[in-house]
Amino acid sequence: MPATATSDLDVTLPSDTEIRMTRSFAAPPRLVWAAFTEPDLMQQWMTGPSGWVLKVIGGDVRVGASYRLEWHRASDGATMGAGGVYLEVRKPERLSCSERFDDPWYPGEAINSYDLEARGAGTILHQHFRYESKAARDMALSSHMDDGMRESYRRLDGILAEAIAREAGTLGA
Amino acid sequence: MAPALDTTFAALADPTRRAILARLALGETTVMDLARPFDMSQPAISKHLKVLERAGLVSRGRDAQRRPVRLEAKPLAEANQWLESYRALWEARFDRLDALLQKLQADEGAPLPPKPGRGRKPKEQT
Repeated sequence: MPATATSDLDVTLPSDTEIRMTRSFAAPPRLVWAAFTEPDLMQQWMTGPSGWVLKVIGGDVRVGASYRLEWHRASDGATMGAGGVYLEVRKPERLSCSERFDDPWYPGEAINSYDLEARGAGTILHQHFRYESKAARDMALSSHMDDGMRESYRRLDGILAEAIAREAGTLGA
Repeated sequence: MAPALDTTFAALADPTRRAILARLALGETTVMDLARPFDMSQPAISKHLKVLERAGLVSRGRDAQRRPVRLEAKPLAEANQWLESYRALWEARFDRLDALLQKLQADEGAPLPPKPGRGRKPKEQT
């Protein structure tokens, strides 16, 4: 699949059940590790679609410990949660955990792993997600497209509502 | 749209099939020419071509003797769009992570003692 020149993020599908991403960061592994494991730092970048705020519960990063992520949307009070257990903790080079959503938009559990490779003063991140089935992987892949489409439809709804209101106003006058 | 993409991704999951598509991106060709660079029999290549054909990624010409194989761009473009939106979401996240890492590094690099002449309290909670 051709890579776009706009960014250095590489996304590949090495098999039917996997998604792999590679990207470099201009900070040493120990800081990237902190950004992936400390709740107050995770909250600052792992956010979802616009309008959602992330809350991270956990911070005890050791094998067998659990973590939980909760996204909240202020506009309607909607919440979305996911959580799992740390499976491998090798600070600051490898982190692996399970992931399962409360309201499962993909079947089963995913195994996520993050490898941090020191490169000069920076870090190369290899992020790997493995799903229980191809269907689950494809749902995870396509879900973000849905987000984008939902956003577009919401905007369209707004435009239509405005147009209807304007029309009603004209007729009423 | 989903089932078609499903078939596309399944077809793309194999390295030989991706190599065939890469070759076809250069232009249409015959099965025989296509098989040449691969260490594979013509029937084996034909099998891969059937998968690609079912996914709508390639088509075969009408010419009964040559039956040239050509790339069909539309399903590839759709699959790419799907991946692109996923990539865009992660790119946005990682851009925020870049900013956060920059801030963390700046905080670390900041001199430990407060700057002279600035009577700041050591801790100021918001």
